[in-house]
Amino acid sequence: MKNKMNKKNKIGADKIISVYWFVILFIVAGAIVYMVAVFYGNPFDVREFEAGIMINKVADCISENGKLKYELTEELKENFMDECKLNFETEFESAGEYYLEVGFYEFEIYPNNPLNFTIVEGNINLKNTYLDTRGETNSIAYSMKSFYVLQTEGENQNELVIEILSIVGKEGKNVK
Amino acid sequence: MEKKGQILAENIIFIVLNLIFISMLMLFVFSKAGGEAVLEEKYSKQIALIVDSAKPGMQIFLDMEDAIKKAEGNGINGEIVFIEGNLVTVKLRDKGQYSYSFFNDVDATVYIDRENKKYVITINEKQNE
Repeated sequence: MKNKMNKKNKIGADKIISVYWFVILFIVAGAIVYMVAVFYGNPFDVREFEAGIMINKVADCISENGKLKYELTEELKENFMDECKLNFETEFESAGEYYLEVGFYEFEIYPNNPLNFTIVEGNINLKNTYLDTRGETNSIAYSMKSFYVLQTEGENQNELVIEILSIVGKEGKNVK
Repeated sequence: MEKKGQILAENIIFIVLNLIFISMLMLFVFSKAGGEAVLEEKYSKQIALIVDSAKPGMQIFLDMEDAIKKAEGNGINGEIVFIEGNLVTVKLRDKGQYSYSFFNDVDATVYIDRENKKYVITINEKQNE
């Protein structure tokens, strides 16, 4: 009698365990499907790389072997995009998806700017977003770098620091 | 004796079901990872970044075997990468494509090297119109 009862209990327990086992399987499957869908459903965000590449390109354009290649004139400001082979037109309909700012400072008193010479290109709204959020937002990605160069004027050599800020919008293509 | 046989059969069915379950999950993950839409986005952004960091005179070889196979599977046997102006477009299926822009003002052209399943990206100085 006791043996029969034990047998029945064992069969009942096995059934319950198998039901739980399938519940666990479905939970695991659901979690994996959800995680994969979320991961591949979001676009790859490459804007930080773009901003970094832009800074390197501008740095290569305006300096060579640690020396400034151009005179700091209004002409440089006007022709900067052509000189550095930049094109900020994009497939997006909005005003522009890039912002670039190149500031020139005297080395001795950096980060003050007595040179008062800054090259600005692109969509100024991106800079405003950057200033408002300090970059803590998904709507933009930015990169900033500064480096030392020598400016030669006749026999004089000035020590300068160039600071480049690059901001990329392209929210629609990089953020869900 | 009969009981032991039953236990063995139950275990085998259980293991087979588990294997089917795991292989279905793996299939789902791989199909998602290698889907046309994912590859289109991956390659268009990759090519745009390559063009951005390239200099005139460069020739870049990009291994796109997986994308070319996918496109051929979908009946697309011609070009799958197009560059118009400063826009890279990758198309691996009939309905749909993915485009991404680059900021480097150069003349970039692409062509397929079918023998080696590679795409060749050539960067030239832009001619003034």
